[in-house]
Amino acid sequence: MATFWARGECEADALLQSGYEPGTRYNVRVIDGLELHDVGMTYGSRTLFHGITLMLNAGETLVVTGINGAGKSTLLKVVSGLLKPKSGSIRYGMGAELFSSSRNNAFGAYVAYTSPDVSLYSELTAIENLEFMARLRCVRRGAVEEALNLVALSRVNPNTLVGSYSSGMKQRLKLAASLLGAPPLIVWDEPTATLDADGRRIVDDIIAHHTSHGGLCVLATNDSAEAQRWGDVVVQIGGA
Amino acid sequence: MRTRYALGTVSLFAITTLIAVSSAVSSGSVKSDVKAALLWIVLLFAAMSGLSRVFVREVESGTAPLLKLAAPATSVYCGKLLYNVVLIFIVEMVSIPLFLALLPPQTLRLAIFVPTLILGGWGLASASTFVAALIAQATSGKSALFFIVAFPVLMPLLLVLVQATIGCFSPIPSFATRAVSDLWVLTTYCIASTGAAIALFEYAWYE
Repeated sequence: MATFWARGECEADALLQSGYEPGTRYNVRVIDGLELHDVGMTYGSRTLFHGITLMLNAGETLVVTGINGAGKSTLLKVVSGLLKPKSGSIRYGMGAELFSSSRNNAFGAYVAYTSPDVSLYSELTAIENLEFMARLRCVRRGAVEEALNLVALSRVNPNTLVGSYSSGMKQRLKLAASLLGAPPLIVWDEPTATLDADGRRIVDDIIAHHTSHGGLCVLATNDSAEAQRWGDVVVQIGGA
Repeated sequence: MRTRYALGTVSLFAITTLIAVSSAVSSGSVKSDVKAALLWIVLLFAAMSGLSRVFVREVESGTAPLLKLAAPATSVYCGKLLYNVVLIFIVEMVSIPLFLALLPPQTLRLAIFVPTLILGGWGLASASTFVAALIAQATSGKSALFFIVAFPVLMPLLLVLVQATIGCFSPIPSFATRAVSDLWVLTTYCIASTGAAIALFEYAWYE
């Protein structure tokens, strides 16, 4: 069976290198889809969610909504491979099961993940942060500038440490970092929570561009307008 | 910046402890075995103040998820191990000359002492890096947990290091012979602790 997985640090190099093209837009790598089968998660005796079964085809967006504490962020962590579900399985790409023995090594290169819990290194500048992430992901250096352009941060003083950024600028930088290497699956938890109107428009543009070129998006939001605008499939957790 | 902060903390601990001990006791009244124990107590606690937080910082500052997704577990462990090894070697380079100046031993067998320091530094760094990864996911009491988990892992290493260092400081030839055999034990410990940590780190990092 053909496999979409890359094993080892740089075996995805060829795919990642081809992710960007000159200019401010990036090429989206098309994947077959994302399948959640009977996915459930519990913490102790508390069940956050269970029995989530759905199929996301190439170019579609799944939006997860629900009240605070319902488990939206947990579901996104499960989808991204950061957490192992208590039950069920997640299949991605061409049929490989996500939670196999080398799941994270292989999967990380294909996921653009960010959430309010994630931070970049506050003692580094934006470029230093992105160059570090680019090296880890085996992405060419030119991608850093393109990622900064994408979120309109290219004009910020390059010597400014991320620790002194506003929350909105940090969020833009996190989005840029997640997009390094043009991963085909975007998993963003409340991507517009701290953004201004221009930032929200940029997020809309990225999502529209990503899905129109065959990429997949899994997003969590508390904003019903965003859910309606983005979602091909909407899952509500922990409520009616 | 993190490196400068860690270096400052561990160096301050090592230097102040050595000066305090040397001012309290006269060098001639302290036997070789006590000096050997003092040396490794100072190095251990100086190093622990920096080594133990190597993964806690990543988890608490929210950068751990990025590392988990962007890099293989083995690369993360090796990077952190390298950082800790360099940190402890710098601490040794700062504190050992000071120790030898303030509490000079009767004899000093450099041919055994230098490998003991290198293997001791590597062993401390390797074991404490893995323990730091284990406790990083704990929701509270990380510092206390580190010392509880690290104690049975580091204690055998510390005992062998003290024995080997006694052989380096003592004029008795049989102690030196024993110190040479201790170097083999230290080498085995370093290989075993590093190998086990690389093999098990993925589970500690992702689970």
